[in-house]
Amino acid sequence: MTNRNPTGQHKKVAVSAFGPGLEARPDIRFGRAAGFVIVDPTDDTVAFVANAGAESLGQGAGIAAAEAMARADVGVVLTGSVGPKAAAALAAAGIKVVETCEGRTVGDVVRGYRADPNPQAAP
Amino acid sequence: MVHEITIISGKGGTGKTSVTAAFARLAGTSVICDLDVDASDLPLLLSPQIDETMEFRAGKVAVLDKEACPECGVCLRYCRFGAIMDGEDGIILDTTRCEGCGVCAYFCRPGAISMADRLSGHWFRSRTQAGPMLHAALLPGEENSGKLIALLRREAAALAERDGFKLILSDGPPGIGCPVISSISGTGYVVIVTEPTASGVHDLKQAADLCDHFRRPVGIILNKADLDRDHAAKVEALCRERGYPVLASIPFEPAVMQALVRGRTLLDVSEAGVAAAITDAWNTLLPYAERARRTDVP
Amino acid sequence: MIVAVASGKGGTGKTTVAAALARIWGGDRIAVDMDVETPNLHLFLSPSIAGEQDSTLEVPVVAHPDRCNGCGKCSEICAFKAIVTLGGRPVVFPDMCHACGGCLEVCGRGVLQPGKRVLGSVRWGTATGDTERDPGSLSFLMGQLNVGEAMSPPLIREIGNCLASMLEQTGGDAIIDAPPGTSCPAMSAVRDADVLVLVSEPTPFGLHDLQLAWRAFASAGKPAGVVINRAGWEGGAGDAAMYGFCRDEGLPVLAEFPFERMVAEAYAKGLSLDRASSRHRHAVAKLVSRVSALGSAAQ
Repeated sequence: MTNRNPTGQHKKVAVSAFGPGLEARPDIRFGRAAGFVIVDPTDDTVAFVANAGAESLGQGAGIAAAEAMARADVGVVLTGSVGPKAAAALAAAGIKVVETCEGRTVGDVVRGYRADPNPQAAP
Repeated sequence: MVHEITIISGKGGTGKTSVTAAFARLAGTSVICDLDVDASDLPLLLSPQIDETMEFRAGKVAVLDKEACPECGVCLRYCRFGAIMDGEDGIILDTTRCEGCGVCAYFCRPGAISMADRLSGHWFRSRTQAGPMLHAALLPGEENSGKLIALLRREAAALAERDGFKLILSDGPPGIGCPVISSISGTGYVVIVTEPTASGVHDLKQAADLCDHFRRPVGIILNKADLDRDHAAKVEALCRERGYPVLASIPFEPAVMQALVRGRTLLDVSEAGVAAAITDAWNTLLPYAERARRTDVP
Repeated sequence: MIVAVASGKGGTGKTTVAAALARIWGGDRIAVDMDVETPNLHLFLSPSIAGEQDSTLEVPVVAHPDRCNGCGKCSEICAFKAIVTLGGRPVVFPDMCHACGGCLEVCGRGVLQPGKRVLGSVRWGTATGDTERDPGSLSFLMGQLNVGEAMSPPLIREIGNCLASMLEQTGGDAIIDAPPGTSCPAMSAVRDADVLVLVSEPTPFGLHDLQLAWRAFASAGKPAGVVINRAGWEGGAGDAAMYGFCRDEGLPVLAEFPFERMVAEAYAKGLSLDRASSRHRHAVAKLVSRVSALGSAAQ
């Protein structure tokens, strides 16, 4: 399932989720998600990064999650909604954010993104 | 879809907790949260049975190993919070002033200072007649950063989703700082309980500004409504200006004080239409709250 | 002598008692409002404000990003996620910053410089006390935290510093209206007091929160007493529990003000407790003597 689309998204795609694997349920929260399922489009490998900051941090969980995404070399984050600080952190790291979590599984969300990498926000 | 309603007051002592307890009864069954973790009073009215007690650890606190300390005083120079002092017996660490920043530990060459997890309080999973309850108690002097409140709200959301509850009802903290911000961000609907007094009006404006800043829909309950006509008019004017519905105006009724002393709720006070007013408020607010969307819990 | 008026629970009458004490207290004194989230003391004292200044917190600013080599030491030392390294550069989140100074110390390349973040303001002025007694001067000091701002302890600390320098210059006493509760802000406010006045009411909430307050403040070892507001309800059923607690803890009951609608109405108008009636004025004068004696005995 390789995908090289005109916007040049060769980078890894992360989906905030309740657990690992493509069958996991997506989590609409970014900062407090249990973790992130990361798909590498070059070889379709699937990895999981646990979100350590979700429980341990009072404030700044979103920022910590953004740091984790940067460390994991993620290019696009697919999540339900991102708070303003997390959004600023992701932008500073050059990571694209798409606020969508349409789908029962992480796999559904990734497929939805690849079909339409630049969705318009729902009215 | 789970709806969340948070009751705050700006000023303390306006009757926020009594109102929450009354709403909990009227709702039949819901997930109830006491987010006033500094002075948790809702349990006094709802008599929860505690099923589980959990430790709450927030931030860090510096710990000094006196044996390893050469008393060089480097840490003293770095601490900006006055937590480190030079006493007769050498270096002393005042943990009540320690901010947990870790700078002293970072610069301590002999490694005499380490950072430990700070026990800040406890939280509880409990049962009441009106539904499951999540509440907490901060230890004295601890930072009320909102982290514990965020934790309670996450637990409430998880519980509601897991067990199929449609409503989360929260008794919020007083003030307008971090704890209140943590209580209202992302909530579906805010009820501000206020009173027609100089202090009440002043603090209502602050609380209203906060809710508007976070774009939360607001409804007002005016308690002790007939105490002062001028200030009642000010409250009503503010509500008109900002488009807040006045859900109820409850008269200043001595029987309320009596009920409180006996540990009863407003629904037990039939005098001066108090019970009726609270019931009307609930029926008025429910459709607003159900229309409002609950967004991402922080 | 520094008197701190505190309460576990909000709404027990802490501010109206503090204002009344400040008005009736003799000699030169400073009334201080440390309830910076929702300051109300000024509503009862109607001070003329002589000056105001921003209260700021020192936060890092990325002054020279070109000097950054992405070493990440600043992010490493930060305990609060206020500065993080992203895209090889430091990114600052000023409202997370606790002003510990760590990042500024640890950056050896001059990337960061200290900047300011405005938390709120400090205001000072003068008010008029009770004019029947020898008035002395009643100065006023307060802080107001900006709406949406999370941290009150730094502002409370700054007010404490202002108070200390005012007292150094003019001598006299201070009466502090502390924030409600027993968490960090309240502790910061009562920390430098010589005597504590705890205001409560004889309801299950009032008693419960008085117990919490006493548990929090007792270890500070300051002389303390209790003022019971809205007393005498239900033939004293609530009062008995409160008196019992005070007796068991060795806490003197310094004054008791019965529940009266007239007092609530005066309060609603912004009239402090001493102005509710001449009877109340007399009672507050007695309270002033008792608090003063409690504070002096310890010194």
